[in-house]
Amino acid sequence: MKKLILLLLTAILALGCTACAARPYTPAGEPTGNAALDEQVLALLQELCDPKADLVTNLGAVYDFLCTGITYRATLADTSGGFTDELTDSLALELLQKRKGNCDAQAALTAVLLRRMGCEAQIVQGTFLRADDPEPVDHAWVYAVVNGTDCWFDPLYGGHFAENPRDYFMADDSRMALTHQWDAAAD
Amino acid sequence: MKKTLCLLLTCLLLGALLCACGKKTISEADLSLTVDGTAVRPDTSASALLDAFGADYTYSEAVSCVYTGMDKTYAYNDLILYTYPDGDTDRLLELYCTANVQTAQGVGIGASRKDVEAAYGTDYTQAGTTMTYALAAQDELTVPASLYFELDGDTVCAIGLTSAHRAE
Repeated sequence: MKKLILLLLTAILALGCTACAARPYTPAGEPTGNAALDEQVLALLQELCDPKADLVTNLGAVYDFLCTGITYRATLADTSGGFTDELTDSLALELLQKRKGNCDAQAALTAVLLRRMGCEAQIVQGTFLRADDPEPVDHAWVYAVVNGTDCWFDPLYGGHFAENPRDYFMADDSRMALTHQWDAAAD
Repeated sequence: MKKTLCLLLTCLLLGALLCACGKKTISEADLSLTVDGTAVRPDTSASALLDAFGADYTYSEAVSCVYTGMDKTYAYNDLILYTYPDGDTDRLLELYCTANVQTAQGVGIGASRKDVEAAYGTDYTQAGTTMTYALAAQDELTVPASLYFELDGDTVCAIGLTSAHRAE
């Protein structure tokens, strides 16, 4: 009888633990269709995102990773003709695998991650100005719509040039216009 | 009882010893590659490497998003040389090799993760498909030199060396 009670208690405990165990984060957006990229994107999001947290909190975790988890290195891809879906996916995959890349690669991965999380996102090409250099620098970053609000993400600029990297997380037009120039008509 | 205690103690000591072996850290001497017979160290200048490897490369450059000046890349068949601008000088940022390369400890393309760990220990960071062994950071302004192994599954498919460089 004692054994039976013990067994029953163990079973109840095991069931309780299973119910309590956190379900992995399930992104709301669609995968890209590139199997290798989609697998790695999902793995990264499940590593970074809290299934119980809201969208903005999880976007913050992803942005922080993009600011600190990537080492700068020139990327060989030619983006002068803009970003096709194929180029975006290949840059994002390479950056995920190697964790090294420039603004083009960071913008590509940012856009892919945001879309997978259910946000509208597109890569924007423009320039920025550095404090110590009058020459504008070609650059790429991301325009997104989060919970119905237009905003900007630039983890490379935030991570390398901003005193507070989060200034370029869901930044509004006025914040971006302080340092970045782009063709607003192309938005 | 004494025997049990003795056995337990031996196991603990052995375990600690094995852990210590795996946690071997790399030194500057480990940060060296032989590429097509040319010895490369993190402080080898970009111009010396270009002289050694020859002019049969595809060159590309772009205004650096991070440094002031141009990022330059020299892509050969089996290796890519990345430089970054530092004033008027182009410094070696990274050398990335996919063939004809061997580390100071004899690890080459085709080696396994276990081969790498046997040679350099387990004190590395794994990010994506890359295992990176970096020297300890000296200050916040400098990214320390490192040796890294890119894996395809469990097999080394590329080996790279990065120089200590300005963090920006």
